[in-house]
Amino acid sequence: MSDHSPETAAGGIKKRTLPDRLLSSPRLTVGLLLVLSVASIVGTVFPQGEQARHFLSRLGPAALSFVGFLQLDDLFHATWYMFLGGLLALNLLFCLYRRWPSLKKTLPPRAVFTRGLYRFVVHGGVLIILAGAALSHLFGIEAYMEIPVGETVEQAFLRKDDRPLDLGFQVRCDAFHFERYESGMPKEYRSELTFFKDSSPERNAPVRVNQPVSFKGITFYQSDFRKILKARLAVRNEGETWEVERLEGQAFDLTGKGMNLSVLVVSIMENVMTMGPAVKLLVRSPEGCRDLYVFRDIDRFLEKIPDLYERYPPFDPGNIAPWRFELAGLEETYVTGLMVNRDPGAPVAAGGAAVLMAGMLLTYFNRKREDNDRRGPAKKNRPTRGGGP
Amino acid sequence: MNTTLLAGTPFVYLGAFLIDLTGRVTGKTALSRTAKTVAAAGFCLHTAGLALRWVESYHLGFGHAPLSNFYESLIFFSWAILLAYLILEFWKKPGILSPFALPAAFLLIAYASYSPDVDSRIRPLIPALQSNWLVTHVITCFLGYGAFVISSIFGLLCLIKGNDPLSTRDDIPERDSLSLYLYRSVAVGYVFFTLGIITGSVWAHSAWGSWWSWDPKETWALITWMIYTALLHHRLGGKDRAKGMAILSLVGLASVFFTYLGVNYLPGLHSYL
Repeated sequence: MSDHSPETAAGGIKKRTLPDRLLSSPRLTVGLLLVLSVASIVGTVFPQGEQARHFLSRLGPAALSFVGFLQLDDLFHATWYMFLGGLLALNLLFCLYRRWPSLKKTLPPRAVFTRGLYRFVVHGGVLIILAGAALSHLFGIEAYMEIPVGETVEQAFLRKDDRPLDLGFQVRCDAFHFERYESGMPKEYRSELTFFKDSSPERNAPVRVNQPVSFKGITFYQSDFRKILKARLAVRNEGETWEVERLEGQAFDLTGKGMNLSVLVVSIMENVMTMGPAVKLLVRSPEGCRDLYVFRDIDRFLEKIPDLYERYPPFDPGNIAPWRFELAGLEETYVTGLMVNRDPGAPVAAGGAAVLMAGMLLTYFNRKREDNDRRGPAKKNRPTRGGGP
Repeated sequence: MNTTLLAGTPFVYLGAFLIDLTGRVTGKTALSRTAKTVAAAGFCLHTAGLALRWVESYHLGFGHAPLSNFYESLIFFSWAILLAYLILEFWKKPGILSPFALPAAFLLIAYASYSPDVDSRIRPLIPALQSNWLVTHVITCFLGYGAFVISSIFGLLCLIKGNDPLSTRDDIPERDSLSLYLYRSVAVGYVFFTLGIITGSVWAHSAWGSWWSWDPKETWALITWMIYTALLHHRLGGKDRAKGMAILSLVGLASVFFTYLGVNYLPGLHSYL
């Protein structure tokens, strides 16, 4: 059953150089696999990436430089780890190339062809997967975006360094649904998205966990969500009323009698000083910038502190006359969190995996027949201690 | 109902183990054959329990394969070990697996059924698990694990037997044949486990947007895979190949268990607990 090591002296093939012999040795394969295993164990025990930051802050300078030198906090992308992976790939290539002649010596001709071919297919599959991994690493994009319901976004943020990424199109979240089973366990997270190219809607699609959606080569995955508050404001100016709905960080302009305003919603609070919901606005007028706190239940506040407006002018909803601000209410809404990826390596790796599996299955289906071929006369010459199946 | 069947199964396995042990101690080989038959009956009960659990989940209104939580994975792991054991014992008849495979399967299913820490209720699937890949991924991984457990039994026996031609352990088959069984069970497990990693990777690609993200479970699956890859290649070179393969099969088993359970104590996406 076993192959004999491909040694050159006996076969009279020309002498091979040391690196050649080293690189085509199956012992190097076993050694590299075990070293990579131990390194990977370190990588699962030592905190990686984001989790490493807190841990690293407790280390001394010497330990820190050691960690830095070996890139232990990002071990799976460390130069030396990838070098070992590359060496394994090289070892694989050399083995395939060099062991072919040795197969010829140990196997009957039909087995040489099938076995050599299948071995080629199996290892070729592994190499293709590694090539896919390299492609993903070099040319892949992993980003993240948050879209509040009803909003349109055209930027995502790269996961590795938070740099913004322009998508080249717009995505609107029309709705987000969070359903539960009767027991309270989450049943479904679903974002209804509309994709726009040059402001015209091109595609509607729901994105669920396990059901991503692709648009123009970029794929969107349902990742997480959070709840946020939306403020419903009513702004009055001499009989006219503007109804405005805004999230934290959003702005709006007001054009009316007296003067024009530019308003930014700085924060939305559910309960301020037990006086109920309020929003903090930053109002810019020709006279300058002013803070304004708008309470929904301002009357309750006034009952307690009748001279509130004199003492705290920013609490006076009519402080920026002739404008008057009212908070009609707060509304809970969702922000959906989406992974935004492009991975040119994935189809390559998938192809490699298919080749690998095909090679393995072919090898096993043919092994029995091939064993019978080899066993015939050869078995009697092999020193055995009897027994065996 | 399904949990009743599944809770009864470990007693059958325990019984089969005790019958086999009695046979070995008293030298009555017929008892070992009886033990295998009893184990096969237990396996039928086990399979019926799993099937019933599947059906019951549909009656609860959220049908899914019984492969979705820690309890179900323990039950299925035990089932996979028994499957590999029965196939080998009835087909190739090495006659040596019962004292190891039966207690292993017994412990897993008994722990699942009787530990207060393991919740045996049928739960609906959370969104992350609602994928067609769940069934293939879990089945292939655990069939691989089952074959690896069997291979480690041959590895252990190989080490006990030693390399001494005058070994007095006549109760253990010859080292060459143990080594061949070891190799073949690893080879079969390896195909399933590789398929398990591939299906997991495809699933991760559609669920998390990344086909490989170095999550601890993924990394440990790769470590396990590399150990068994090393084992299969060790067969091509080295001095005492049988011994090396035997040691690697035990290291591999430890890695399998860490991949299965240990990573729950590391931060990651795959946690059962």
